[in-house]
Amino acid sequence: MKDDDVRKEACRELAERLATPEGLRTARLLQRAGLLAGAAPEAPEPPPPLPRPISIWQPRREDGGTVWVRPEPGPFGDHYAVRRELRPKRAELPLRVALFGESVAAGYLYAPHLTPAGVLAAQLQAAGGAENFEVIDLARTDETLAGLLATVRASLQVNPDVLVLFAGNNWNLLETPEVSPYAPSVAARQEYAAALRAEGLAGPLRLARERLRQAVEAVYGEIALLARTVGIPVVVVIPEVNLDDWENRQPVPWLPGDGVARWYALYGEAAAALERGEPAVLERAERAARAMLDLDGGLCPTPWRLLARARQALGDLKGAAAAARAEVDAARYPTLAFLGAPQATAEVRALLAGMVRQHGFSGFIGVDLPAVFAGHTGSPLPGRRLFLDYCHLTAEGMRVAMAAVAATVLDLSGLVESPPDWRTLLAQSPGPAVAPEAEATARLGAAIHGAHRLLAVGPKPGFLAPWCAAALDASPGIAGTLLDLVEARSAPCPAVLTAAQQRNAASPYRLLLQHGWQWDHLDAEVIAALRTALAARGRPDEVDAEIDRRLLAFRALGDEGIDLAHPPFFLWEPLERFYPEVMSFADLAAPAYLRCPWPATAFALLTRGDCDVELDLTLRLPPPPGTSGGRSGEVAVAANGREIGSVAAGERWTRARLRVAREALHPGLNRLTLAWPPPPPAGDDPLAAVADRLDLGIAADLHPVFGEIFALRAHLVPRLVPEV
Amino acid sequence: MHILGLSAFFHESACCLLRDGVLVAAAEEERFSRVKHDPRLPVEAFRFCLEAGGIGIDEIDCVAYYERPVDKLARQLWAGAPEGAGGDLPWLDPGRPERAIREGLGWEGPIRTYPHHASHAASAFFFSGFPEAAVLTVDGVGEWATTTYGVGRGAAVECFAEVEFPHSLGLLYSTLTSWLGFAVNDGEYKVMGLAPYGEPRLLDAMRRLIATGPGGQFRLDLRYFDFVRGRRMFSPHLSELLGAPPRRPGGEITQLHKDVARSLQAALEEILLEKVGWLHERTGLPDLCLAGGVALNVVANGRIRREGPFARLFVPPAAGDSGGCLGAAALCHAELTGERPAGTPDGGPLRHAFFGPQWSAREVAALIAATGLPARDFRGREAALLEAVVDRLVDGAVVGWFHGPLELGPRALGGRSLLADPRDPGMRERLNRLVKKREAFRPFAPSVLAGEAAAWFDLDHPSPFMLETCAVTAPIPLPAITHVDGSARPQTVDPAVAPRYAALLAAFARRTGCPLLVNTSFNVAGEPIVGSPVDALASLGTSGIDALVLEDFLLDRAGLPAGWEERLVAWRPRGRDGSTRRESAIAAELYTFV
Repeated sequence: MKDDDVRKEACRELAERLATPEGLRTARLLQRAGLLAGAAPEAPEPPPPLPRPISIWQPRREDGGTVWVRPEPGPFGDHYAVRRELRPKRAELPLRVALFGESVAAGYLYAPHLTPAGVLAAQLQAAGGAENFEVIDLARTDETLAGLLATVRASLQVNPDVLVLFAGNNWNLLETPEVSPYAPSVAARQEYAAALRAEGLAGPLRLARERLRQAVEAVYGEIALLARTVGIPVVVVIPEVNLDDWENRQPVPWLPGDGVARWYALYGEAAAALERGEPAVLERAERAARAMLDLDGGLCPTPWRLLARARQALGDLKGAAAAARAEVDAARYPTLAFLGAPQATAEVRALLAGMVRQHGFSGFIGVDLPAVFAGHTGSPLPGRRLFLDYCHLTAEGMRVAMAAVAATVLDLSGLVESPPDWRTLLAQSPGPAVAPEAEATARLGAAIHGAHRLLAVGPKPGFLAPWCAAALDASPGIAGTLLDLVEARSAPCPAVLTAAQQRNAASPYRLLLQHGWQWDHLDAEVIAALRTALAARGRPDEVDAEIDRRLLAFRALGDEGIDLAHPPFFLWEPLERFYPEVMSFADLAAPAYLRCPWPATAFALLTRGDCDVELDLTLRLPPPPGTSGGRSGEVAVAANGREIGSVAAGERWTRARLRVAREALHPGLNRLTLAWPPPPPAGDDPLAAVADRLDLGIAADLHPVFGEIFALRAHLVPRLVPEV
Repeated sequence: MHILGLSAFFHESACCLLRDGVLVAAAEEERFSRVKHDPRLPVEAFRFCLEAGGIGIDEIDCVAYYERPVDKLARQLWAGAPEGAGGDLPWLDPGRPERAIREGLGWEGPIRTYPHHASHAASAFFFSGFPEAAVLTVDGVGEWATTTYGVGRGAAVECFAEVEFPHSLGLLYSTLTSWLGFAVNDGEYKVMGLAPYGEPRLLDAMRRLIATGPGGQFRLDLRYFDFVRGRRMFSPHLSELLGAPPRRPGGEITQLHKDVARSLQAALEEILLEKVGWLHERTGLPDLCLAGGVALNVVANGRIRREGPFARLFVPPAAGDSGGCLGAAALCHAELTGERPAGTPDGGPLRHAFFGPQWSAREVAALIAATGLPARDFRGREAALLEAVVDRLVDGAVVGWFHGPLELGPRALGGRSLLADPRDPGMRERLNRLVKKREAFRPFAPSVLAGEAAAWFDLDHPSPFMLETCAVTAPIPLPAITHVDGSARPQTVDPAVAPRYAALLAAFARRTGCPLLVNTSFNVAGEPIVGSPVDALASLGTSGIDALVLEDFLLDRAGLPAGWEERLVAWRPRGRDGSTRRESAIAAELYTFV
């Protein structure tokens, strides 16, 4: 046999062995041991020569010098400040303050009408003289540590005198995406598995913490070096987040034995008790929450939130704040399988404070927003007054935050004889006003965007309706936009193609991408919230009729039927899917069926309410990882809270038909709910099975899947006999 | 019996459904995901096939996959990981396709796999209507085979010879495509279109790259190729041989580049004709079925038909990897039933490629109402609609034509087409520059009424899939569809198969005396062909076309509201989950071996 033939035979046999579990495991072990490596990565490209772009501002030669120019923003806005040009400084004054950071620093939801940079400039100029201060806005939504460093470095071409860094909320998934069971890398999954085996869920958390610390120290160290070289100070803003009017209720990862069932039973108990609100019952809620923490080791944010609510209702604000902070810390991404909301954790604040201490000699000064906000409101639980959502600031929040920054800058500048403290500055120079239309738009955006990031097991209207009402308070004319939103959501096409969007684009309440305009789901919770807000302003019957008319114009259930479980999704909560399915990663496209990570899954059914509706369901109950054989149970189906039947389901696809009588439906939006049986006990170490899978380089879920829906077709049952 | 066929994880994922051996639905995933050449698990195409078939997942009897993952891995191991393939080695897992089918699609039942080239062969033979035929498949590479020779007879397709990797006509063509500065697996068509502008003066050089062998064999001289282990398709020796450095993507196209393209094309045709001749000798059969990615080389197909020894030639509309799912499903049917799948309702050849999703007039009406765009409603008035379209065409308009089911395969065939007047001397330049936004040298193809084809082209048989070129013999100049060498790639339109489209051609003929139209795919460069009415409406705003026919509705670009185009350009079409669209799935420089 020729050498080549021998080699081919060997490869054929090797391929057959790799097709077996043991064979693949052997190959992956060889990889983990570093004995089987692929090609080395290519060397990074060298940086471009000067002048370099500063973020999206491109250098252009002009009159013997350089000006940096950004492209015109598109009709939906973008992530950057709208300032067209950046030029190098020509004189010592005004003092140039450069602001860097993430969406909070960019004035998300208010930009371009009101931004922290604009507020900072107004406050500095009011207190220190317009001729003495200017601010350039280099913040951007979705900023990363690497991006921050690159922009800071490039900004030196336009000679800033002070750097203000306002970042830390995004330091989770964006920074260390490889620490995830969904990371698109065999090596990353194997590392995750090793950490999981060694320390349970605390293992990947530690891994993420270390990686983040290394990344932050490297970037801030580099910035310190740059600042020291140029001789300019750096103001580091330590972020605060919304603790009162935001929630991160997530599902719990797999727990040993019957832990999952017990956890959700306790959840139900706690939630019901909180709903009732009586003190004796609230203590029951607290006990249930603590029992949940015992089960999940404090690594899931949900019981922390329940505890915070209970403590707050019992008047213990400090205890509530501590629990709320623990909630934020527990919603960190290594266990986050659901698209949540980025919020700076205690660890982030500690890192930033550490950077200030470490680089104080390089001119680093800190602004502690948690302390500032607490001092401003008198409460340890910052909420809606300062935050539009999980971390983005209201106009008041911006003014307070920037007053603290301005006070620091004034103090550093030496240009003001008696620099005021932030309270004085705020009182004397609150900052620019914002037009009522812009204020209303920002508030409506808070409701919409909030709905798209708020992961709550439980009703959302408490978060959304106040913002819809506040939008109407700021400018009643926005009522038309609320109705346009209903129309856009119920159109059989993306919002951008709708007549409603065209009307909005020409209105003073123009919704941009940042406001969540482009969202191709029904947004049932937002619709419910704006219905409440509009109805509260009078003529509720007319409001209901108009909203229902718009909802039903295109989406009313027709003769051809619709599958509620597939795009265009009619999920009541589109976020209640594993985030790789929401985000559709490169190698983890959403499966062909809906995986339900909660004990109940709800859908929106739009119908005129004049016919029965038949449901054709295909569903199954997946077993816990590492187990097989025998999961079965009843899946209860309800319409608008009224049970209409159940399906006996098992591990294989089951098809069933149920009828919803028209008496159970009303014209417009109806809620269909499937309640899943709890998963059976998962053995002593369900996460071991998860780790086994990750070891083979295969993505794995840390969380239970309660049920899977292949199809949920709804179609009208025509009336055979006309009613007399 | 319901068999679901799947192609995935290499190029052009697709899914099809056979019911009792007859094709009822098929579609490429890219048309749903809006990712060009999408290789991922075809989740949306899968769901479409079930819906079109009116069945649930529990009613599928078997899933047929179009290649053998273990054999493919063996070849990949033998070749070694190409440099730059990444350090992660995910491709070491041959269980991935089955796992994806079970976990990604939710399929619980049996899965059968078939060799890649057998799937190609079956996708042609079982849909050809020939009771028996010689079968030739040619592509880049499947598992090991790059070319196979076989016979289809009854319920079986038997392969009796093959050429193994790395000796590959498809990879030869892709290598030169890359050298010419075009993306592999995407730019081969451009090279084919460029060839008529050149001279075959480098044919001898091409013969050094590939040498024919006895029987069906041939060999590449691997000194000139680097696709096995390297980061590029070609080695430095290739540039030495051709006497110039490789063309930079987007760079100027010189006469040398045109001559290289022409010489490559000539070499390909030469070797294909030789091997077709051998196949005919070997089988003695009058009919030939041809499939695999190289079967999309319409110029070579034209020569095979005209000059080759076979009396009849059948090339399926999805001759590339997306058609593999049809072949796999057909093989599965034969295996499970012992019978030949009919393929079509009457057992004859595929006469159309309209197997994808369609929208009712009611759905389109609702969509248009939601957009508020001004549209003329021609429901119940087809003749008036056609006259309105002809009005625009003779005025020089480019009209988007969206009608009926989506086509399967790379060609638009009157379901999702851009139409224009072929007599217009400026039309080709305009279409290339403003509408398709592609290279100026690329030709356009015509649709012609089947009964008129022989009077306008050197074509004496139906050609419903635009898969062969022929000479233009038209009585008037047709500058928009006549290539520089006097050839065209016509689609013959049968009124029995596409009645409205044929009626449009007839209306245009009545008005102008010309029974044909420019028919190019309804998409712009970098995007897949439009699939849904939403895609078409978005293209109205961004593609530079003048009008759009959406079933029974006609919209004029001039009627679009202010800012519409700007908003559409700013909007990034979303994938099915609302995520932002990704760029083409093709690695532009290196053939995707893994």
